[in-house]
Amino acid sequence: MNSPSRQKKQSNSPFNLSNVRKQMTKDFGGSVPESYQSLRLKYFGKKGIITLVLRSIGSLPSSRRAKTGQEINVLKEEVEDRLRRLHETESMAKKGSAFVDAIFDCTAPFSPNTPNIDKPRFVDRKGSLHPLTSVGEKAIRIFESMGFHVTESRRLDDDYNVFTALNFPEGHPARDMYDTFWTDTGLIPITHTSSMQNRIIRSVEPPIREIIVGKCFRHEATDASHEHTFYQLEGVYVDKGVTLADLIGTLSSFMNAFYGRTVKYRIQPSYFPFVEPGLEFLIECLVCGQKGCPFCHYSSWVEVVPCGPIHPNVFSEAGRDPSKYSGFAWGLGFDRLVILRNQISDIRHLHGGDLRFLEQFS
Amino acid sequence: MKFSLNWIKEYTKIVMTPDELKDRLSVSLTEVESMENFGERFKDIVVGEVEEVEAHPTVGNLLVLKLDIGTRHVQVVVQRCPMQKGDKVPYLPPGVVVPGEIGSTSGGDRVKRVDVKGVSSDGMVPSGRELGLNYDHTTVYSLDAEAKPGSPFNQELDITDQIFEIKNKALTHRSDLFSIEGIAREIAAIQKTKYRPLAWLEDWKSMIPANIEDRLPIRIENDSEALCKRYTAVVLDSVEVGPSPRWMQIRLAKLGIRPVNNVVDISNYLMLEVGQPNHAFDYDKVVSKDPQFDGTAIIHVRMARGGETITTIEGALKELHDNTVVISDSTNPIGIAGVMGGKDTEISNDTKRVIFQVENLDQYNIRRTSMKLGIFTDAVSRFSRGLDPNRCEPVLYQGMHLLQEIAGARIASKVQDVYKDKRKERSITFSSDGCRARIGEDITDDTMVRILERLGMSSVIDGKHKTITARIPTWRRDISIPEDVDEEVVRLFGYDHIRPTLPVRSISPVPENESRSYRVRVKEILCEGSGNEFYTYSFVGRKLYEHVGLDISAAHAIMNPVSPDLGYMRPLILPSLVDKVPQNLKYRREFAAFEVDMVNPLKTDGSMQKSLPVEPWHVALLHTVSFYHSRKYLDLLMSSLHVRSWDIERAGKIEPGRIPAWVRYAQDMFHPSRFGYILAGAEIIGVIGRFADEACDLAGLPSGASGFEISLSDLESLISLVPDYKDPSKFPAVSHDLCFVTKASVPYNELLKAVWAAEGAKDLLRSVECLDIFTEEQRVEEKKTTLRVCIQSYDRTLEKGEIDTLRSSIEKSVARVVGGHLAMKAGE
Repeated sequence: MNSPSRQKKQSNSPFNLSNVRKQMTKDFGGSVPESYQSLRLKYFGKKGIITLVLRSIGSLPSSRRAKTGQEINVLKEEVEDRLRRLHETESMAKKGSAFVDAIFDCTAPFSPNTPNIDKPRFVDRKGSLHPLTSVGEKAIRIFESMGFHVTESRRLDDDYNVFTALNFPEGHPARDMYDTFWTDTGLIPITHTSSMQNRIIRSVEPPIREIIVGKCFRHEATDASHEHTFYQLEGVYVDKGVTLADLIGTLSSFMNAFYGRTVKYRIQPSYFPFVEPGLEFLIECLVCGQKGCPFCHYSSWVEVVPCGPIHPNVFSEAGRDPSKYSGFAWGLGFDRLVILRNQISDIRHLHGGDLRFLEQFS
Repeated sequence: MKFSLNWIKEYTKIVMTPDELKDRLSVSLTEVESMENFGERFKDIVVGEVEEVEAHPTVGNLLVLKLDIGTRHVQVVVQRCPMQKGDKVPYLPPGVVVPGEIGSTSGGDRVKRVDVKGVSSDGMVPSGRELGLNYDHTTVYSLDAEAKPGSPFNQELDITDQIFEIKNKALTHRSDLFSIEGIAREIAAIQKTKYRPLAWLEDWKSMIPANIEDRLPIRIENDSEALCKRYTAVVLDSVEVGPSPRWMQIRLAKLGIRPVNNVVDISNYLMLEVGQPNHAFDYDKVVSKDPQFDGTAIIHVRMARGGETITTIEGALKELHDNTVVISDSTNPIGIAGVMGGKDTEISNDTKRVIFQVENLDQYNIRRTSMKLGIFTDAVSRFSRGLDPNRCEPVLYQGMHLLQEIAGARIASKVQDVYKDKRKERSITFSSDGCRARIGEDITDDTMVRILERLGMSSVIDGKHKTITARIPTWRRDISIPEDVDEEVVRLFGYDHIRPTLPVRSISPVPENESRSYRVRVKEILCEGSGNEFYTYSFVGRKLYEHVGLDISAAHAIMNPVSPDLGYMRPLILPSLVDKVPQNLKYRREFAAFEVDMVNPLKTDGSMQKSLPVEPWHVALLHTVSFYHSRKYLDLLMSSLHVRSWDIERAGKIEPGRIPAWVRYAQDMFHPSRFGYILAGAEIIGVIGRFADEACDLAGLPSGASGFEISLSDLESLISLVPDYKDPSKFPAVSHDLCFVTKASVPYNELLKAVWAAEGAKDLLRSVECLDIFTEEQRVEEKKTTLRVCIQSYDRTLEKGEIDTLRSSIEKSVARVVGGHLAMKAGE
């Protein structure tokens, strides 16, 4: 029985995955497949094909272990999937689909006659949070520690909140800077989280320290560095005697805390009608260490936070007296922080739904 | 916006290197997007002197030139054109890249040594178009007679230059910076160098003799004064249309504007120089087509009448709207004001007389007109930023001057100027302490004044009132409040000189946003159960929804979607996850994808709050394997959120009226008999099911694919992030496995309810767990459900009798409620 030649054959065959795959295609693909029970035994029994293959992983040279292990896992899941389908087909054939529907019980934890091995369980890999969640949460925690309260923005908003209340008169050319989507209901998928500023300045009694997380939309053709859907973390700070130097200090402290070291920054003039002056807060390119790379477009600086002191008209529109209060606001692009942190070369990965991307963030 | 450093040098000395200047412009004005050493593209071109011109022996339209290029003599074949011995031409040796047309950045082909029908051509003598210095392709580009053979070509012309391109986006409010003149002022202020204003902008009237004979009178009627604040025009005759001088062509070419002829080039040149668009009409074409011409040309500025059309210079027929300002003769439009002139009155090589006009237009109206007509010109981008009407007259005069100088024109009419509501210079008085307080940096009054003066705003300090009064020129309409002055001061003071501070606040704790924390917790829970969090677009397409059996028509539709697949705001998350399954099946058969997001209910279903649709938060999870796998995640979620009373209920058990509209909509994704409603408390908060077979086929899902979607907004009031804690009991627990036989149709949850409803169960029953559900093939009408019950008291050790009593009361309850009984033998 235990002749050496046979042993050799047994221990060798599981390594040849393409043979296993061929066998599987044959077993499950025939016009009259074997029964569910016999195939389950054949693959997952004590001496089942997959059982043996799995056991053999340990004896692989370590160089091959990871790669082959992964291949084996894919194969295992495929066999399980085929088994489940076979099981279902079998019970259908035996009892008719009406019966299967009748005994289907959505209130039960599993289906009748489910063998233990097939009982529902969690996926046996680590789950993952999307990097936009983890990075967003990290940023939010830092701002919370600095005394900011966090809220979220709407998805669809009206022209008043997106533009008019923010000192964009109707027909203002600055509106062209925002490649705005419109709905048939006359609403705007928000172009920036500043759409919440009017509500917040109006409803929160100063001092206001608020951050707003939001999903924003601009009509832009997507490519490796452009997305029509992006994420902002808006900040609104209103109190008596708040200065531009405070704005710079706040953002700079945030960046230092976020990256865990002193991050070089620079301010560039920009223009947004709802702040005066309009600024762009840039940080050193952490990908290339300011040597120049595609992430910073060879400029050594990365634009991350459009910001500025809140325009008096925005205060007045929200019913706050601009001679009494001052403040600042910013709109941090936190998908930018994700891209930079992980050096993701293609921004489309963020919404690509590719598990090979997502699972890396487990 | 592009500018040439050489041109700037006419206004101020450049003391910074191009790199320094780029850096300082970025931090004091706006980002420099690119900087090009323009002369680089000509660096390998040398001057050649034509020594011999011969016809090509076999090809009639070619010439063979022998050139002296200083170091040696070469032979080049060119297209036939007027050439003679002694001409100076640019010569491109083999291997050099042809600079390429105006606006090209990468250059053209590389010059090769070739044989042209038996004659070798050792290099190239290019045309102006090939050099990108004009648009002429009929002759070779010739140089002045003084050019020395062999000397570098880029030293012969004004082409050794730096061309900067700055970001327009940040200059939306600064129409004055859409000109060389304006940028030069900024550069002078940044460098702190002296700024020399254009002489004609200070005094233009003296350029033109006062007594002009009104040979070709012109009259202006302005019916649109609200939108056209000023209109100036003049007629010139004896115009000789021809190429403009080389210096002008080169200036235009460097900034990407194609030279056309002297009249058009002068118009463009003025626009580049001072940012004021202007236009020349062919006088004869205007008057000959005017049905009511009586010797005086009529220019009528008015709103277009419905149905009027015009063919633009570009040859496009445009329908005009009644809010479009047009320039018209007595009857018909001849141009769209500020946007583009008409084809019928265009300047051509035969033009002899012109109407030269400069106007001021309403920035908002012109933007709307441009968007509506789909015409975006350099003139529109300037007008739509709001120009200074006071600039019209000087520009008209300078235009007259250049037309006389360059195109041999003579002034033939009185200057007409319709300008009622004159824009006056304003001044602004601000507290310098206020400015310092807002900026948070100690900037002295003197520094402020110096900065403002450099920017053309003469300023005075009033020491008594601690204020500064600045005169705001009419071309700086963007400055109207003290905060606007802050910007001028601080950007030239230098943001890098501001010492960052932190606002002072009380250390009171920040209240937690609990609903957000709980949504984050939802993500963590599903991730702990090995789910993978996805982020997908809020935009969805009709096809995807059709694949899962839903009609998207009632969702908020995007009027201008990026693609048809992204045409609606999603009312659900689950279909978006469906969309991501097939691509992943290649490497994963089994996974749980989830997402948490705000959704937009269908227009027909959503409720409104303050005239905006309410946007609930949803969570959706998709599992590729089976209904019960999805359910396992639902169990995990509900138990981890400590939702006390929740259940899954079958379709038939719920009155349709209780089902929220969105759930009724969503349930059509699922197999009609394999889904259930998710209840929390008395409310239906979601739906769980296996996808319908057609959905699996169409969307490429594995057959077991299933999922759930829940309204987190509805669930919120029922969750608790703090468990209902109870001290563990000190007394022993007993487990019993009970196997109940019921009809196959009895749902599991009713059996479970029956167990819990047993007398004494509330007190002594700690947990019930399902071990197995079994149906014999021969007796499919009944099923056996094995439950493991855990019995324990909090205050005593239970006697055997008490346990037996509970068991039998459970048995009775099950018999009464669902008609089941204990199987003969139950594993204990």
